Amino acid sequence: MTAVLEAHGFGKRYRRRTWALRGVDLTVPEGSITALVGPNGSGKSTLIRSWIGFERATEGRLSTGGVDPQRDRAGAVARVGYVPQSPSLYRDLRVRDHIDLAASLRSGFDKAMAARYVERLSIPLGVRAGELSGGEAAQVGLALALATRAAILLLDEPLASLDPLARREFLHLMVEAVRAAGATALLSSHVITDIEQACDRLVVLGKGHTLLDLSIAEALAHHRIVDGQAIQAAATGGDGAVVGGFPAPNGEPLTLVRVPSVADAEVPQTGRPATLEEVVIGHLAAGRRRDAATAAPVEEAAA
Amino acid sequence: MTIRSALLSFRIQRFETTIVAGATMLSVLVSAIAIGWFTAGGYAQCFTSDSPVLTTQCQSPIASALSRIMRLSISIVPLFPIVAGLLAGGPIVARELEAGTARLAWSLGPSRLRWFAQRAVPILAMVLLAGLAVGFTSGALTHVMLPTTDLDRSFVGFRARGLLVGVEAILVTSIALALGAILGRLVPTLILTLVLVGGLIIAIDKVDRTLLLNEAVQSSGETFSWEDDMYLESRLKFPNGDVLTYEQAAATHPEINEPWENEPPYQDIVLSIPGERYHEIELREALILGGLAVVFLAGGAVAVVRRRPR
Repeated sequence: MTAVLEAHGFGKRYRRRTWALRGVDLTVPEGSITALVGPNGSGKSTLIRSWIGFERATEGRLSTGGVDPQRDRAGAVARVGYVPQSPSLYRDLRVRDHIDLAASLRSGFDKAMAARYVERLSIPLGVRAGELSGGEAAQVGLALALATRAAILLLDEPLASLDPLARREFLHLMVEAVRAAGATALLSSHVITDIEQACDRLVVLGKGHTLLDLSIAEALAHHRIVDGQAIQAAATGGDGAVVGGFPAPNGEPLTLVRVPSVADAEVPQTGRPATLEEVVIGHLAAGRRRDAATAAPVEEAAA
Repeated sequence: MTIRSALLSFRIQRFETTIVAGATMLSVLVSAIAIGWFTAGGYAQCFTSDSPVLTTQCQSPIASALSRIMRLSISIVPLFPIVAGLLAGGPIVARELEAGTARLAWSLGPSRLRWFAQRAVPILAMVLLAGLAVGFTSGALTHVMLPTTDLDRSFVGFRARGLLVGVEAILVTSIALALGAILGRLVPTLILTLVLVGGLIIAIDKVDRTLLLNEAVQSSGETFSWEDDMYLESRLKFPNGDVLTYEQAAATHPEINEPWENEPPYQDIVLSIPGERYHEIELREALILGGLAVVFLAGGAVAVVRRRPR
């Protein structure tokens, strides 16, 4: 399968001190809707902004639809539709004006398509952007990005400020448009339930590096949850590798175990199938422990 | 760039556009009414003589009010390029970066230069037109106030009338635009632009004076015209041909400080630029200021292309 977004040994350091990302190797296959998940500060936005050429790599290289966004930013932007976390629209311009503005900036922008999407979301074209709610502004941002007819859609936490209904409408529109156009989408989000419904691939980004990169079906098929008592058996019983432990909402300790396949009848199974949220949390918890373990000797040496 | 995109650029800066265009129209309208009233009402004769004309009409409150309005209008003209340039140029890039709208535009359009041109050109055109309107209106007011002066051959109101007002406005707009693209914040942009414009005014004046001194003619008290010529400096000319400043003369010719009998041992002269050269000097200065504006615009464009959006 062809990769449309690639990162090879990618690293980004801010102000010569803090590494936002380091050693990221990642590929997003063509035609997929990939979820990019990670805690705050894990570098999701930096990675997305780098693919559109808004950030420069400190090390490694990136590819956006076959072009290096650092060397050919215009080429990268031309291949991408981008929806940021807060779609900053021009407060004094009407929604219709935004469509005209986009058409004047980008050749091939489909004004009719943008207007159709906006109207489908029950947003009047004549309303000023300053009068839109956060959710409506996000939807206008999505309509503009979709109407670019770009082969790649980068969505940087666009769901963060939306209520559940608006989130659902947003995702429905996005999935429908991406599938119809045969495009590729990368959606960064914290809302796992939405990801499960909309995406077919999952990338978990830890503190600056990739923790997990596989299809959602595989993520669900290869992970199980065992309780505290069963952990020893899971770890030593040969039916899987312990990923990490984390508390359930009620405080009960849970452990995520990676297994060959939950559907494989030949393999002895322990515990229950993991939900996608548990897969993500388990990998994040494991990543955090690994980071702490790596940081500790360094701190000791420094001391 | 289309008319629609130019109109959108104005609408994005609705507040500033309204202020600059409104102030210009008000200024032109008030000046036109004052000039019309002044001319049609026969008040022009009150200013044709050097001494006050003591007719009832010239002493009337209307004549006095009209004269005050026109003098006030002329006196605020030098401020126009600075205020209009700051208001119009500052927000073009700085506010877009601050508000995040630049990120939207830059993600939609592959060419940032195209965006920059779409945003900047209509605003620059508006500022230029407004500056020219104010400048030529100021020229018309000056003509009414000084009907005996040939303004095409006079430095009266130099830099505060005609072409230069428009070019100055473009320069301030370009400076604000470039600093906005570098700083990315509106208030620091406005403050720094004010500081830079102040410094630039002093620097340009200094360079201009140095250039003009090299081209100055020596006029005696009889040939120099305060109304037409551009005064640069007074000098003392000695019989041996030395043309010196007072300080130089005091050092080399100590006798000038001693009492002399009939005539002083030197001639007072003025270094000046004759009024006939008004349009030539005006055009030259406009080209220099315009060149500086182009440099700042290019700097702004480079900053837009290179910087990362918030």
